[in-house]
Amino acid sequence: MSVRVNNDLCVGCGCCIDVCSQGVLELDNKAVVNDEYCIDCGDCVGMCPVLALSLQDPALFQST
Amino acid sequence: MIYDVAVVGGGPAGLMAAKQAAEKGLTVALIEKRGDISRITRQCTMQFILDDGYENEHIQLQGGKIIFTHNGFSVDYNGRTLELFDKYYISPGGSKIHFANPDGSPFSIKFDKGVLLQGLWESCEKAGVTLISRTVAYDVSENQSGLEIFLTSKGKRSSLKARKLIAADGVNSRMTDALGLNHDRQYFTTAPNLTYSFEGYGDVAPGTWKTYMGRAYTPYGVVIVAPAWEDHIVDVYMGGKPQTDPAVIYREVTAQGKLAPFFKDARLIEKTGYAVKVYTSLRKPYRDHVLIIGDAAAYVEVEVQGALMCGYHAARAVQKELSGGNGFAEYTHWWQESFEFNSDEYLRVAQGYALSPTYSDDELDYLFSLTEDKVLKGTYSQYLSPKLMWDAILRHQDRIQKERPEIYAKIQKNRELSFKRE
Repeated sequence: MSVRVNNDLCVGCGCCIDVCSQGVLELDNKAVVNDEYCIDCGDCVGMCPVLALSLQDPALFQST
Repeated sequence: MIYDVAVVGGGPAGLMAAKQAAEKGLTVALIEKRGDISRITRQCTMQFILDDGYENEHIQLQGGKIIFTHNGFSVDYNGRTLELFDKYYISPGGSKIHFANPDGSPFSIKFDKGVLLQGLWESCEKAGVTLISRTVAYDVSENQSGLEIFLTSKGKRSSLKARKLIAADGVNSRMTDALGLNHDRQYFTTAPNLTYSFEGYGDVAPGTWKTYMGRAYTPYGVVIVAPAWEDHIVDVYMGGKPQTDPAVIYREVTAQGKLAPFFKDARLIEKTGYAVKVYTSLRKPYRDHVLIIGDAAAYVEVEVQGALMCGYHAARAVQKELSGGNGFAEYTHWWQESFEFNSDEYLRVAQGYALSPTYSDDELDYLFSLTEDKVLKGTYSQYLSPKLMWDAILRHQDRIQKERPEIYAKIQKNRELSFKRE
């Protein structure tokens, strides 16, 4: 499991990176995910202004 | 190697801090998540604010320099500029509150942030800063002698040691969060913003800034139409709502709201967006070996000129700390004096004076109509603008009380909103 980036929607603002406590996300013009470290917390999903991020299993989305 | 100071974040605050620190002879590493420093991925308005006294400064642009006349330093800037002369707040029915300087001088100047950052980056290089780009600093640990900062770059992990840390990683600061420094701040909201550039917009007015308020334009906050670099292009800023599809907001503004006719022949050129975590400011922006500067410690933002000042003072503070002085405490004194959001009065203005959605469209039209014939002093300041506007409106408070008692009651209630400190 890990977060997925929809590259058609991502505008590369990097706000998801700012809130990732695990160092899972990086910026290469758009958000890039390092699968192995993702803990599915959903913090990045809640932060994205263009709804470009999603967890593979939406039931795991824990952000409030 | 253990650096004297690590700087996280290559915005105006971080780059300025790194450059100044290196020029003082300190060993400096700067970590930045972007690969290309000059590529601005979060559109913001990027204005130099010319108000005398704004952030206790009065900046001047002269001979390729931004001169900080009170703080006593300057920063090179050779990029393009665009002057702003008129600002309007516009009600649903089209009543306007107009801000402009009586002598016709500009009150702010749009600048090219990419050029500014590129220049600072090159100055850092020249000064001997170890520049680490396309790298994310995601965590930090502290011990008695200093810090270890944890990095990831292209999936590879590493760490870096430093005696002091300057966290300049912006409004959504990861370092501040990792250090637990946000616990004492009041959190308000996470506000998404969407920015679109259009060609062929029907109401292009160069040199003019227009903020549209009310549900007639959008149910999601305000719409701002501001001049872009070329006369025939406008930048349109649309307030968003968490977890709301930007396409819905876009449609509301461009096809359904009152501005729709202006978008009839408009062509979308570019879109960007970002989200801002809104906290009260860090009134004491340091702990042990760490100093938090710029937007990372602010209520929303310090603006680019404020960030440059933070960087300038942060480098001095770190140098002093490393030689046994109280640099961070001195920085804090300057920080509290210089930035309006460190006072309760500011938060009262920011919180209690908000127009939309507090007032209905009809109420906004009434309030705006009271001051329509007057021109208020030109300012870009997000503090002074609403203050001047409300001062002008409240000159008619007897009339409001008589004509529209329900609006008067609402105003009184909002003015009494006192800010709760934890």
